[in-house]
Amino acid sequence: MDEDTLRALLDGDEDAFRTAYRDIHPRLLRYLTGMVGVDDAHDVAAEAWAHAVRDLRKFRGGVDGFRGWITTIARNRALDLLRSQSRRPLVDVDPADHTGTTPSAETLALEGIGTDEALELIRSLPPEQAEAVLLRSVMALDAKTAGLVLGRRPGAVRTAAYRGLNALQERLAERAGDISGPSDAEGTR
Amino acid sequence: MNRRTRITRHQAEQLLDAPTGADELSALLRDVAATPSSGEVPGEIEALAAFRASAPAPATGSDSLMSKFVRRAVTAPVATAGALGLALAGGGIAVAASNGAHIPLISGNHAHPTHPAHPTKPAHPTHPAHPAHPATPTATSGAEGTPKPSLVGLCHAWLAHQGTHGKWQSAPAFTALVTAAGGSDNVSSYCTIAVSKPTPSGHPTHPTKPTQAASPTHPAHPVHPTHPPKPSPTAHPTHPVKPTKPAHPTKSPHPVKPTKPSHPAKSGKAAASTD
Repeated sequence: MDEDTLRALLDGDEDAFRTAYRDIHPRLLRYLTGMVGVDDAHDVAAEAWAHAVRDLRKFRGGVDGFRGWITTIARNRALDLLRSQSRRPLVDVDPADHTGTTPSAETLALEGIGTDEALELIRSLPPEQAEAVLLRSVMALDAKTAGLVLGRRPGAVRTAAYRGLNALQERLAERAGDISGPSDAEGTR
Repeated sequence: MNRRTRITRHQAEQLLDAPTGADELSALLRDVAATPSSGEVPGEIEALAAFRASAPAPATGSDSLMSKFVRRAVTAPVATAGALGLALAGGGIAVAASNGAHIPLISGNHAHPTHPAHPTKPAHPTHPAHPAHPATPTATSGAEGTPKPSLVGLCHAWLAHQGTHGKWQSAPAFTALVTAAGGSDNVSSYCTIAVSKPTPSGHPTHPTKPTQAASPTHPAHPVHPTHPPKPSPTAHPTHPVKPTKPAHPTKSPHPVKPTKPSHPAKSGKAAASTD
C-alpha cells in the first residue's frame, strides 16, 4: 500500500480499498490476537473496519497515518471489549494454559518458530512492552505513529519496545539453551 | 547468534524496522510481521460492501443528477436508515441499536464534510457540521420499492455467503441491510428481489456515480497522488452551499481521533517503566 493507493481509496476506488485491506487486515488480526486473543480478534477487526469505512471522510493524512488511524480504532474497540469482560489486555494469557502454544526448544531450533508461537512469546511480555513490540513490528508503525496510537511519547514507545526485545532475546536464549545438544534435529527432520 | 548480548536501543529500532538478521529474534520478528496478502482475506467481502456503501463514488459523469443526490444521501450512514424510512423520527437509531449492532457513529461528533447537493433545499444550510439530521426529502424520495445501490451491494455480499457457516450475518457491515430487510431472517428474500430488480441507475452491482465531480478521478486508474480526498463541489452554482470542506480540516497524521483516542491502556499496571 502506497500513498497513491490511499488517495484512490479516499476517492472511492474499490481496488484501492481491496489493496489496503489485504495489506492491513492480516496485520490487524495479529495485533488484535495479541490484544484480545484469537477468538475475538476477527470480530474486533471487522468492527474496526466498519467503523473506519463509515468515518473515511474524516480521515486526513498519509499511509502511516492511515495505518495508525485504523489501529487506533481497533485498539479502542479491543479495550472496550476487554473492559466489558473485565479482562486486561495481554496479561490474561498465560502461555502455560495453552497446551502446545509455548514454543518448544525443538521448534526454536528449527528455522523460526512460527507465527502463533512468536505471538505467544510476545504476549508473555509485560503488556506495555508487548504492545509496543506489536505495534512496531506487526503493524509496522513507526515510533511516532505508535505513540499516537498509544497516547504516549515516541521515546516511551521506543523504550518499551527496546526492553521488550531484550526480554524476548533472553527468553529465546533460555529456550535455545535447553537443547544445547541436539542441533542435528535440524538435519534429521 | 549473540545470545547473551544485550540489544542496544539503536539495534532495537533497526530490528523493528527491518529484521533481516539470521538470529532467532530477527526470525521471530519476521514471523509476526504479516506480509500483504495477494489473495482474498477474511472479511474482505463484507468490508468491501461497507466501503462501497459509504465511500464517495468515483466520478464518471454519466448518471443523472438525481442518482447523485440519492447516492449522497445514502452515503451518510444515518441517512441510510433515513432512506429506508426508519429514521425519520429518530427511531432508526433505536431500531439499529436494538439489533445489537455497535453504532459508534452515533456517539461521536459526526462531521460529515459535505452535503453538497440538495435539489430542493439544504437541510441545514447554516449547520454544516451537524449531519446527524441528514434525512432530507431526497433521502426518502424513491426509496420505496427499489433498494439503494449500496444495499444491493450488501445483498450481493450476503447472498455470496449463503450456505456458509460463521457469524458473518451479524457482521457490522450488514447492519443496514438487516435493518432494511426487517430482520436477518428476511434478508435472503429481500435480497433475492433486490438483486433482480433494476436500480435507478440500471446497474445493480455498480453504485451510481455522481454526474460530474471536480476531482477528475478515473475509477480504473486512480493516479492522483496529490489530490486530497476532497469531495467535489456540485454542479449547482445557484446553490453556493459552502461546506465543501470538512468541518475540521486538521492536518496532523492523526487528525481524526476516534471517539476515545487515548485509553489508559493498562489501567492496573501503570507505566512504571516509562523511562
